[in-house]
Amino acid sequence: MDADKFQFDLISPEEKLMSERVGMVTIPGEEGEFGVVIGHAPLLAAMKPGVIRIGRWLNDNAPRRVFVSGGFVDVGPDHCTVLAEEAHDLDLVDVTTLDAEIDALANSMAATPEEERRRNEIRLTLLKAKRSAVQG
Amino acid sequence: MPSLKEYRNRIASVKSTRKITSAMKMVAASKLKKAQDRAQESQPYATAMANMLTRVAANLVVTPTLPRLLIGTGSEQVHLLVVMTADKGLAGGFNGNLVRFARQKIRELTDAGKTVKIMTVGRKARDLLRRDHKDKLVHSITDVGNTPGAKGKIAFAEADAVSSWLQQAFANGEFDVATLIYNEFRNVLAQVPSEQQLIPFRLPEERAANENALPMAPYEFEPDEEELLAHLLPKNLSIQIYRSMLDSSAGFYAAQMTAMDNATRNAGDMIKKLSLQYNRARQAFITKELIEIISGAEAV
Repeated sequence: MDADKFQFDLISPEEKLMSERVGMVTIPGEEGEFGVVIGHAPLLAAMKPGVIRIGRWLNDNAPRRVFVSGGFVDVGPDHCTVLAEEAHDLDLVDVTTLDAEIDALANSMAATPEEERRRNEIRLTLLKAKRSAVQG
Repeated sequence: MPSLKEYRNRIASVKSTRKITSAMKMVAASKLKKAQDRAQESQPYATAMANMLTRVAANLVVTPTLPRLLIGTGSEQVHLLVVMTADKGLAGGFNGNLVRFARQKIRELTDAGKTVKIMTVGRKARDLLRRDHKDKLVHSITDVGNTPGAKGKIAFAEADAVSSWLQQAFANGEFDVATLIYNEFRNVLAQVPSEQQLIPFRLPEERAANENALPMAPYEFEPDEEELLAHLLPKNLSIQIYRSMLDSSAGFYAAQMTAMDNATRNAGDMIKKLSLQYNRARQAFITKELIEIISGAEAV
């Protein structure tokens, strides 16, 4: 089985979040979702906010689901390196806290100054994307 | 000659100073350890990012449509210096040396007829540069790594905020070249004021060497090289700033630890010297009293 696996790394600027041998990874690419298995052609891609599914082996039907806020991915025949600023394991995300966070941000929107509002809007979109990822 | 009581007071005061400095040294040592670990943890991301940029750049044809973050504005008239120090002092020459380095840089640039603008990160840089370069100061940020609840941990978002301010200002045409001036952490005993050009971004020069190190089938890019580069460059700017913030914070604690170690040792020396003087004065006092008693008895 191990022969079919490749090195998968999930790195944030603050720390290395994951580093293990996996069978299959699905990446939310900027131009569409794509799967990575061993022997993939070298590829550099940008990611949009979405869910990375990490299967321990090929056709794993209970993959780990990790939400990323966008980033970059470097794929080679024997490696897949994901650079993401923010990554959360969806199984560990608490929907109620997330909802509370969304509400708090949405409510404070009117009171924030122009400069900050733009950043908050991006943040809100992200949180909403995360919310829908948890449910779906 | 000071009285015995004065000596005792001075010794007590130096002793309590020594207690404080040795405690500060301990605290700085433990914070240094954490800061170094954090700098280490950010390494993989930075390396991967640098690799990506090198790969994209290797496949790039230089055209005027490239992102201006890479090719610049075509002018070198207005320089923005990002001066990064700590918020606090009591760290030997850590902040002072850096600001001196920055001042020298400012002088060089103004002598060459360039316009200089300054952005500061850290309270010390702001306070020190405001004295003589107030007119050049355009923006300042303090309290990095001091967000409530963060326990001194520098968040990537803080670097990102600096980076987006820079990009905004650059897009508005407020400067042509941005250079970061920060304390590079060489080792615990050496923090070296260094400069690093942020905008336009300088691609690693040993490109050829890197290509040899990464022999692989040609890369595919999604989206295409130019667009990918437009995504990568801002992130790269943030990570560079983030790394220098971490470097600077590790350097600060190292400098503080060294400074406090020296202060503790000096306090120890001073206590020794004062105790010697105190004992001498005490003996002189006893001898004097004895002589008085004896000569008093002889006179009778």
